[in-house]
Amino acid sequence: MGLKSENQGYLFILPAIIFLMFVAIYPLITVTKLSFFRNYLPEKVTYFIGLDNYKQIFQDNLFWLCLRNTLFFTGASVGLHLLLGLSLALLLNQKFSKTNNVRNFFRGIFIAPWLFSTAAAAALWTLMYHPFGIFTGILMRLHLIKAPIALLGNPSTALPSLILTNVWKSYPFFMVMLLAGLQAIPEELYDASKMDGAGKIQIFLYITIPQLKNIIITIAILDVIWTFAHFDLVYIMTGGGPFYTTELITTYAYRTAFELLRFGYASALGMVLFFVLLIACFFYANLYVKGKIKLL
Amino acid sequence: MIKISYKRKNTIKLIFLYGATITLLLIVIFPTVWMVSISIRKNVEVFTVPPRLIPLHPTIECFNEIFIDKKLMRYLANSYIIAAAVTIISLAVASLAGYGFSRFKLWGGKYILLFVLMTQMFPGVVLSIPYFKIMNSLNLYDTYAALIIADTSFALPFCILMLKSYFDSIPKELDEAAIVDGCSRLGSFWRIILPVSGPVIIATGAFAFILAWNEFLFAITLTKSWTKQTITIGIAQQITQYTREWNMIMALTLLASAPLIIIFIFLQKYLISGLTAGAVKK
Repeated sequence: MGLKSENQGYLFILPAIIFLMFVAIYPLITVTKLSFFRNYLPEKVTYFIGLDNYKQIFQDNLFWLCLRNTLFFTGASVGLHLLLGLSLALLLNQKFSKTNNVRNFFRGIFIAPWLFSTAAAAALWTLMYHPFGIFTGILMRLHLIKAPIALLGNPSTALPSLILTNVWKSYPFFMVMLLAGLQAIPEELYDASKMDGAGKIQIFLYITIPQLKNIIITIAILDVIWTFAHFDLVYIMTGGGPFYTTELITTYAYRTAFELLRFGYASALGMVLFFVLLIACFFYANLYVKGKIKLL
Repeated sequence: MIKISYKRKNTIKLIFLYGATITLLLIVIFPTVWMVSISIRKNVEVFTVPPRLIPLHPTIECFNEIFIDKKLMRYLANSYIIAAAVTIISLAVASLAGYGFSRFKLWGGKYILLFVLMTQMFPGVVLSIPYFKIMNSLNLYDTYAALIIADTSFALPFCILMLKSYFDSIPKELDEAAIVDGCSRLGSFWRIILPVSGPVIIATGAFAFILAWNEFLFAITLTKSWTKQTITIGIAQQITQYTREWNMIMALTLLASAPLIIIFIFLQKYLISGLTAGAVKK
């Protein structure tokens, strides 16, 4: 190494940076460029059309429907992720027995859904949502419905069903992160507040939640970004149907590209999606750079 | 107020705790149990009215059928190969980068790290379009390399973050002492930092493996022949067919999830502590 010892740092991060340049930045530039072109694969020509794709998007009713679906899907998923994650984290932070074995056992089992691939979860839940499947069976037993219904084929139940599957699949990440956050809260804070006569609810509202602020904001924003860009579950389970009730921006963009072969328009759709995420990103980056929250 | 002894109060609290936990556990784990239950049924028993948890005639015929299916076994093999490659490359590159970010005052380091994290935020769908075109033009369409590159691009940022966080928690005096003794930077990385990072490296590697194993979008975009496709595609294919043998599909998903479950059982301690070790400063 001919470099001074201090400058070798750049060499260490070089492979990662170069790799990411090629596999993340270069493709991003490519797709941005493509969004300003007309690129319908069967046509052999590709030509520049400026903002026409974007103009078309804003007049595209299906796009706005997708946006609504995506917002609903994201909002509900993130909210439930945090709710379930926090509840389980609080629960699993309690003392179960003298040693921590029971608690660790429970923690291990609650992480289970995270281990399945989205394809596996999609298969499992598609089966459970089947008209003759377990959910219809239970609903009928409870006399809530009279005849079997196809939960994924019914326009009003399809999206909520997908949300439920998504929540089941991903809550472990939030549980683990919030658990870590809970364990980082110093005991002294609890002891001091108890000595000052604080009740359980007061402790929760004024000690626990503020201490968790960093983690909650971080994972919430991450989840918004991830869920907004979510593709796998929805594509496999419903493919955007029935009647576009589960069509997200991601599935719409994907199908426009690889089924309708309209790469230019699909790129523009993707860029709009990306732009929305960028706003969330900048919001988070702003807080990070200002030191208001730490990275993790 | 009735005076309840402390011990009595404690027991009541414990009963509620176990009660709540076990109830939630049963609800959350039920789908998994259902998956196993369906996978050991004959086809006629998949949909029974009313639904039964335990089949009348359990059988492992589904698993047998899968093991002799060349295509399905190839799917699994492909997944293993790709996931393993992604893990190795990610760990190698990320540990070096993590060390660099952790031990050096890099000009603009904070922003470079942010840039690394930002690449994680690019939606898969947005990238799938250029990847498709680029891989085609590089003649890498329908190859292992295409998927390995794509999956590593996702795994890398998080791995860098995890490892950097952990390296930060290792006292700088440790490798500084080695350097004073004449060790090179690379040497101190190899001989000092790496050996004490075992659990976190395992956790990070497991994370990369799981990420690559479960990947779906790039798998369907960048491959088309069964000699290259992964098991996630295999499963998705089965569901979207008109006639679906659910017991086979469940057996397949169990087999597909088996490596992850095994990783998890053996590394559970490492995974949870590794995930959160760098995350929270005590």
